[in-house]
Amino acid sequence: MTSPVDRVNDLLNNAIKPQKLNVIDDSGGCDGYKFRILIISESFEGKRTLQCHRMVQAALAPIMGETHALTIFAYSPEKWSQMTPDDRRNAGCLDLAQDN
Amino acid sequence: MLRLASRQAVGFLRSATYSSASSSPGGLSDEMRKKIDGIVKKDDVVVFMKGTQQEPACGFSRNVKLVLDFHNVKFRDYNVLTDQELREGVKVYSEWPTIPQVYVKGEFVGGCDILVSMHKDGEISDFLDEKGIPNKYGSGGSK
Repeated sequence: MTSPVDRVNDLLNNAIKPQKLNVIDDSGGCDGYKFRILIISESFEGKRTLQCHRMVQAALAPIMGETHALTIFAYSPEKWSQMTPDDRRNAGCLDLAQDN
Repeated sequence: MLRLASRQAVGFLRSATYSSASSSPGGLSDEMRKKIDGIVKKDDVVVFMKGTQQEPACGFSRNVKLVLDFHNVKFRDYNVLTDQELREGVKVYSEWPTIPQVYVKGEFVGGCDILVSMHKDGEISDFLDEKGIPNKYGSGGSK
């Protein structure tokens, strides 16, 4: 049986083909999923943050019915490489940033 | 010092979403569309939120209020917890599945993540200046 995180990974890998993706299930027993997502993709290059978030939400449409909350960090590879660990901590995504 | 609500404080996001069980799946009545059109055009900065700006009922909504307060941006709040039709309506209208939702001069800006990141990146002051919204740290801001 696929875990919720696996489903999110599958949906995002298929729709966006990210260079880097890290998804954490933050649901903690809520009756509905809560995910924190870090996604780095060239397809975010040149796009406003809102557009990038909409792309992620669109990819996750099949699971949104069961999802209560999403926290999305979406960056182009260029923007991501410019962010220092302090920038990442400041943005709130340092814990998602570990390289795998 | 701006202290944002921690994620741990957000334990009560009941049906915050884009629910497939919504009363108007994918549809938005003309009446509701007109109502929301009116709302987002009536005030320069509008936030659809859970709770009120005096008493936010959700960590994400509270964070949006904190960012706007920090920048001395006056905004009109609409509590979706007291209006289920509005709550579902804005999700379809904005094509955005969650609350809070921020509109500036009739244009959808985003939810909590986007407001917070604009604040942290320092781009929110420029954005508000561009839109002609008086704000504390902008170049045309009010004192």
